[in-house]
Amino acid sequence: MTPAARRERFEFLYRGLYEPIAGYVLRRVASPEDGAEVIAETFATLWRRLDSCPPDEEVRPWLFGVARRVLANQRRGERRRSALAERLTSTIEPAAVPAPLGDDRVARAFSTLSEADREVLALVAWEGLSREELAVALGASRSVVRLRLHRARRRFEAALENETRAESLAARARIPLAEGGRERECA
Amino acid sequence: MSAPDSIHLLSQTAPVSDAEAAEVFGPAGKEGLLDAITSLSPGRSRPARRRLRRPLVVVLAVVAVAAATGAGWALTRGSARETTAVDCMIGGGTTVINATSGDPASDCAAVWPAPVPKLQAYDNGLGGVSVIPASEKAPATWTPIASQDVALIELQESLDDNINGLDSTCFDSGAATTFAQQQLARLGLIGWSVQTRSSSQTAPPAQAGNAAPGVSGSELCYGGFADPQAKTVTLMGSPGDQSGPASWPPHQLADSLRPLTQQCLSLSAMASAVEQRATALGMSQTVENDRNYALSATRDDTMRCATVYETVMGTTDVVVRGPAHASGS
Repeated sequence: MTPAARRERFEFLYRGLYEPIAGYVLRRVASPEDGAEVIAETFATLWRRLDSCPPDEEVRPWLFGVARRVLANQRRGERRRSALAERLTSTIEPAAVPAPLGDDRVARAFSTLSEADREVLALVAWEGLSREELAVALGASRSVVRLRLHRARRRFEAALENETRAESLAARARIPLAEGGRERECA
Repeated sequence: MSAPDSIHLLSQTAPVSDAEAAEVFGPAGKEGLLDAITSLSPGRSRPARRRLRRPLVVVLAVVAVAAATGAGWALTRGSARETTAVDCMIGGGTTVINATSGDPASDCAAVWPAPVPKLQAYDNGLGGVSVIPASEKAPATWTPIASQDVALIELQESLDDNINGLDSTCFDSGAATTFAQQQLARLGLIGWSVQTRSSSQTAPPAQAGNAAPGVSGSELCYGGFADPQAKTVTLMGSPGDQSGPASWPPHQLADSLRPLTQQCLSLSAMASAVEQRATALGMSQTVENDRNYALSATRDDTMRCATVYETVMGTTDVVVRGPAHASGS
């Protein structure tokens, strides 16, 4: 591949994958600064490995796998504030940093799962990966991925039921009495 | 609640959308990064990452909503001892690792940044095990815990194993049931049952006992998971394609490790043999790419010979457990 063709392919992939990768990363880090480093390193890896990366249609899940490994390294404490990351960090727009969304009950249930369960569920629910793409992202066969997804769902649903039950008990404890206006206390 | 509902609910709680994430850095960030990367030499090598003392690490994906809870475990609301994960609360964050040794504090010590403080494991009252520095005050609802059930940890590893377990080839329902029963007996897990579930809509379940492992094609291949609360191993079938292509690095590693399971080796001999075979396949614990693997070794002098399991889910994890001196040769 000539340097020009190489740059052209990278730019094509970068423009198509920048948003999904930024989303994938920022959904999993505590701060945009941490995210900048992972995004920069992920695309730098794509640039370095452009000649050996999968065909275009498989690059998206493959790059999620790269981002996941870069994230894991970052959490192991191997922080290298690279020049690339500094460049991206310098463009952070504080007003654009969104607050977490959603149903607390679901978030609490999700937080009780192991990393492996959370990642397989998040790749489906947040990244919208198909089973085939999931296998590429996780480097496992489709049937293994299918089983793990089933197992993770089962645990997530059990955790959701626990949270729903706990919420219901808490709500009952706060029901005001019809007469007297005092809240009923739970034993 | 049905499974699609749970995924749908989760999809609505994404902390940030793709478009919102891109906006955080703005168009200048996007274009600036593109320019900076394409100005790099394509062949620039990446510095090798620091070799971990025990590289088997499954790090919790910290989403903003989850960071405050500090909880992570494999199975919810059961006995904390009967779990297969440990929540190492490092630096106020929460890192969930696979339990391997049965000693949660020791498992966390292997991934804790140096200098490692004295650690204490607790039943966190929510069905999981959390580990914090012994010098820190634990919440009032936590109670100290010394160990997790190694037999349960090993049961799940053996079910997921790519070397000889259910992920190694295509097991039909009969062969998978026999395998699971053998593992329960070997690990001394009494009172457990094995149930088979055929969830595929596309193919009929295989007849129990009518085929040996290695069957492929349109038949269902069974994987399994352990539920300690119900004391059940559930086997689930799905069509073919269980073990991946022959050129797949984890598959190649499993093939090369299989002969080791026929020998009686000490822990150190088994760990060395694993490293030699992985290196010969171009796999590394220090270079982060799709040939990366993580090896953990746990000494257990109650065993006669070392065991080895390889599980794959995002990372290739090789777990070796065994005595300082083998006694079966």
